[in-house]
Amino acid sequence: MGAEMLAMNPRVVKFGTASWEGVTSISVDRGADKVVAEVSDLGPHVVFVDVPEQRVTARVTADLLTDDLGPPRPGDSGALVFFTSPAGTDGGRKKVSMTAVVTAVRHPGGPRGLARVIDLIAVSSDGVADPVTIADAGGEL
Amino acid sequence: MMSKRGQLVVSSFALGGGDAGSVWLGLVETDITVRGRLQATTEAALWVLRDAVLEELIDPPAAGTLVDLNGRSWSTMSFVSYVEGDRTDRGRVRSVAYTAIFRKFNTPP
Repeated sequence: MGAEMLAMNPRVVKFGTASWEGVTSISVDRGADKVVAEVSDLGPHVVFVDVPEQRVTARVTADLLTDDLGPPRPGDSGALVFFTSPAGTDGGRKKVSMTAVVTAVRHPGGPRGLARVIDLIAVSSDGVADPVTIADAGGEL
Repeated sequence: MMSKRGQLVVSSFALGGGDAGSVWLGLVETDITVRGRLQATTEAALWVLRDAVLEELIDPPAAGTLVDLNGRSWSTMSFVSYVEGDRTDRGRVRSVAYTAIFRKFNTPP
């Protein structure tokens, strides 16, 4: 099951075979790509709403610690995996994973220097399955 | 939604006339367009609804009274076309938008 979430300072973030360092936050958001809203002939109000097309996006923000001219690049696809826990300890650690495609890589300046912001769109295996998987991490690293 | 009403007017030239005027040919037939959405909880149930609609498209078309949700009725209307939206919407439920057209033929079937 997936959910909107914000992970602060996740200790491990992997994308495909790469480990992303210095990640300060990961947000996972859900939005409607298509909203069906119908009114009736009887009055002004909407009587039916559905969301037949939705999108799960992730944004990874990292401090840029050194020069980095390498990937990721828009179009890159891989498994985005990160671990999070409510108290920053091993208790209640969760493993969040999703297959995702990079859609943007930006480097805005900030109070702590240059950051790297990576936007991704999560991909479902079949269009029905939720693209985000959350599982107990146990001792997995 | 009711279609444009009035005379069918064509140019005299189109009918072989030699002037720039036009000719009326009579009142155009009335179309009533109904736009809606079929909804069902399953794919199969949605097809049941579709099939029920399609069964009403017959040849020759039958005339009947079309009644809207606000109590207005139109007599001797024939169901002439059914067009679906670009795709079935699969969200919380299965649904598909449609446009159905009913025509009042000048010469009823």
